[in-house]
Amino acid sequence: MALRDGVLFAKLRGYTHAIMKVNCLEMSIIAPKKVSIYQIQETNRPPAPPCPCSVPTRETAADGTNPSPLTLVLIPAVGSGQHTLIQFETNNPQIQLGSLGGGDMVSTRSMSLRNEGNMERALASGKDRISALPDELLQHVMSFLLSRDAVRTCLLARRWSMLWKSVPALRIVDDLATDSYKFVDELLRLRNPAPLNVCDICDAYEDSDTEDPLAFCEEASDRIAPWLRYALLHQVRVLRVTAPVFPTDLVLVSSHLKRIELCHMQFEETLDLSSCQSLRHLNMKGGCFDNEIRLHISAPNLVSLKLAPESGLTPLLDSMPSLVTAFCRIFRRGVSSLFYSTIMTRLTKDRLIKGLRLIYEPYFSQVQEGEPWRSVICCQNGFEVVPHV
Amino acid sequence: MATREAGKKMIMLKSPDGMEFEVEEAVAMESQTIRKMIEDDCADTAILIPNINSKILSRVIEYCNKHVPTTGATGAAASDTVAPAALAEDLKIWDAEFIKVNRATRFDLIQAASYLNIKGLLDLTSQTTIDTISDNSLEEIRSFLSTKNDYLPEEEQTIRRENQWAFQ
Repeated sequence: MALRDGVLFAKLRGYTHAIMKVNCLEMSIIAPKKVSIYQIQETNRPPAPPCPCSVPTRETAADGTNPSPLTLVLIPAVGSGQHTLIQFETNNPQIQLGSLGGGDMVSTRSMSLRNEGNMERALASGKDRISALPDELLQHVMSFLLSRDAVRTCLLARRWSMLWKSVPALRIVDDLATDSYKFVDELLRLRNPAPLNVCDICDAYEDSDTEDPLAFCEEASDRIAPWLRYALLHQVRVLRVTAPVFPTDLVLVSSHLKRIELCHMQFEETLDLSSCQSLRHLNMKGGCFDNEIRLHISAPNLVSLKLAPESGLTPLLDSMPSLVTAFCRIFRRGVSSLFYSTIMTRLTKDRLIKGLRLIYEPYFSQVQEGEPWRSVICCQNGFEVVPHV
Repeated sequence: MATREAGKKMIMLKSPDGMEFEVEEAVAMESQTIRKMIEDDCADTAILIPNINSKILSRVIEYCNKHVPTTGATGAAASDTVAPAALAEDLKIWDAEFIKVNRATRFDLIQAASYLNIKGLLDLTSQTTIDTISDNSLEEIRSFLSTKNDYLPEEEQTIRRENQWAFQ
């Protein structure tokens, strides 16, 4: 937090303590009855004695109103490298901290602040502990529920009536061939625009006698596309789609995406993920790659890669200098047998890798080198091909 | 800074009930909250962990000890390293054992994981909680959460009607 002298810099509502490194501080305290201020010497170990300028206990006025704001100026003992720990004995302090004009603010440190009010209340009562969690934490826990179940928690109690609206996850496991998509459309319409950690869409369709699989795929693609757009718009970090669909117009551009898992999807031409600067993990299982045009995958910051399609030409990969582990299932055009390979890399210290190590599994000793390996997987860093014995 | 072995910085964590835990810096830095304090030079001596008692804190440290990347200085952030499959499987089994705790302890662990910002532990505790309540009726979930239904009958009807689309 950058600070200038005389500028109000923090309103501490709902925090229990703050640690900062200052040599001059102004505080305006409204709500808490008691504030303790400790100084922590860098060289000594706490517990530090309370600073001489501790705020005395202040009682709430008899008529129940809060006392008027108390402003005090802290000037900790001179000496560099002192931290000040301020502990508020209240659930909801209303404190304004600011550097004092003329004071020499050494630096402020990010404060370890937490709203612990709910927690204290919970510990005191000893029951209904989960409801004592702050909304945000409760919503994190709820993000592991299927979205349908998360919405249904609205019936638990009043507090839960709106919690589902900001759950940071979409978890849809439904038969996309039925009307269940209406649930998702409604969910996205009514949800608060809170960012998403996870978007997990899984087609639970199992019955194999669809009259027209191709038509179903197209229909499902059309339904899923706006959901994916919604997820990307809401900064989704983990995207998982398990459905036999064609993502023909799948454009994944997001600086928030960290992990993508696509199962049973069908791909054509290019999958350009080069705009996804945070993307670390890509997993494509099942599904088909095109048999005519080689898929081109560009994802420069990948750490792990798994490509295990059912059929199709093995994709062309752009440079992935940070890759640590990879698994590729490789097909030879016109040959029905599968060629597996496990690609492992050991990164050298300076991360300037000369190549990935390609380790054949033992039963593929018959794999011929040259075609298709080197022509199929090419990487600007080059691969080191090491047959496994 | 206390240094036990060459190259291994030690950090002292203190619980509010007065217990002290000396842990390796790398272990403590599994907690993003502590990592930030260390990186910001706020943790030169000891760190007081408010609101987490020694029983819970020791469990949290146990978790961090197990999950600290063993490969060492690859330069990659913890979340970016990918454990080999066997090791990951091993960790999964360990996690499943670790989380076999009673309800109260699990809620304490959720709070601790949230406060200390340890994503893996938060996800583990959350997932376990959800696994416990999945497929239960509303009444069973209420009982598990010790939550009272404070809706008036007509309110409940309204909520149900408004969210009809989720109950079909």
